[in-house]
Amino acid sequence: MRESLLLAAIVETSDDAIISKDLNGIITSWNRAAERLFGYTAPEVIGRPVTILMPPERVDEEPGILRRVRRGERIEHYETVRRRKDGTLFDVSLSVSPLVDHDGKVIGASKIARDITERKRIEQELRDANRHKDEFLAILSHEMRNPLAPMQHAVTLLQMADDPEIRRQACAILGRQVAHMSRLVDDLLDISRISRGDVDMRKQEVDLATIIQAAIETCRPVMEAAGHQLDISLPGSPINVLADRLRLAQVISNLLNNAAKYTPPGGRIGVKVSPASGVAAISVQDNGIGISAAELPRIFGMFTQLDGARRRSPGGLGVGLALARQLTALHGGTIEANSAGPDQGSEFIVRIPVSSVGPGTGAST
Amino acid sequence: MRLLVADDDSDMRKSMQLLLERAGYEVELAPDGATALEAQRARACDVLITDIFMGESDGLEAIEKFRSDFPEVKIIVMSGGSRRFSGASYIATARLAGADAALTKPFEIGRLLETLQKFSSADAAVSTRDPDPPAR
Repeated sequence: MRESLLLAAIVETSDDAIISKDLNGIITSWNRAAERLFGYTAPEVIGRPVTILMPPERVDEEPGILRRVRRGERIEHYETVRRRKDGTLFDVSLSVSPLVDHDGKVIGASKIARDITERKRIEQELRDANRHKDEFLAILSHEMRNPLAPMQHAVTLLQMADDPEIRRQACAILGRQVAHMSRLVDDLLDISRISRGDVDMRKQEVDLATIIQAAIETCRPVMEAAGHQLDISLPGSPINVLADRLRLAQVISNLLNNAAKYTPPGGRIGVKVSPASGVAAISVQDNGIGISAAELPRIFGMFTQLDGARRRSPGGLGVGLALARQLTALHGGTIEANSAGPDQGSEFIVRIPVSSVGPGTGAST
Repeated sequence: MRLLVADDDSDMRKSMQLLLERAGYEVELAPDGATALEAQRARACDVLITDIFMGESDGLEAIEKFRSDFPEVKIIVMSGGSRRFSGASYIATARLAGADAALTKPFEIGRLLETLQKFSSADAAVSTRDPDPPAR
């Protein structure tokens, strides 16, 4: 008597949904966890076929399950889909054991059901993360090898050729490719550091205008090379933010570089700063290849690149926007991307909290 | 022999031109597959040396067109791999595309020059060789 009270208590208080049914598939018991999981109270389901818990396309699982139970088999961790009282479907893992009477005859089955929606979501995230890592390694391999090829050739030229003009060209090639690889390595290290939370931020009060100007100067060569027109709109009076000047300028120059990269030659790029109640909004727009609705949600993810544009772009690791987002967050700000669609340009807006508006205290260097 | 070098990187084109001209070849340059085809139509080259991954499948398409429109042209593919293809599957892809030889970037110019010498001294087509392993 005591033992069956104990067992009954265990079943009632279990976190797992425990359901029993007879050999006709009719529900004979239903614990509290089953009520929570499926939404039905015990009186609502006892006496009804277990198939009411199944979506129509899964109903034919039941005969197979009953057949195995009648043979005295256990079914362990069978993954399938079940339906709640409100009609919603969810992923579930079932373990089914035969119930036997004193003579050893199978009289029904006991089922433990676990909601595995969360586990499946995490598994998918892991698979995605793994795939991203593999893609990143492939990108890295490609992007790192490409500059090495002309560098190798330039070294061979220096070894073989006495002609000063050839030597000059070889050195110019080496210079350009080393600069390109340095940027790649910097990006790689940045991403790795920021992922580990290892960023040394030196914040100070500084006028936003000086940061924007610094970013523009960094990107000017790329924009001029592509023949882009740059429109700048800055407010008349200083806007002070608490920022690491180099890092915030890096955010803006990442956006400007992307604008230059993803806009066909002779395009228009705009930078506009607008203060609004405690927050400064910095907008970088272009009339370039835009972002499709499918790409937009992932645009700030790691290692993303817009594939079709690769030929026009100087390459890179695809971490610029992920870096921009992390650096913006470290400044207490937000970043968003908008685009009307492919070939309709893009706009990125960075919002940073303002310390004060008015005569600045930061030096402008 | 006249050579046509197709690669989307201008420094790669420049450095290869300097090296190949030093070795006595005439060199024509193209930044992508489409331009390479136009260049071939304008002035026939004997060997196409092309990166296989310029843009999406630009290099592969160019190779297929060269094979159908200019079957006598020898094709050497070069690549550092790409976002989609690792070194190993790159080799398989190069073979499928019908390349006569394959080089993995970065490569010593000597290897390319050896391959070119074999092309010019042989009357029969050179069979596809194992591509060179990457320089370490």
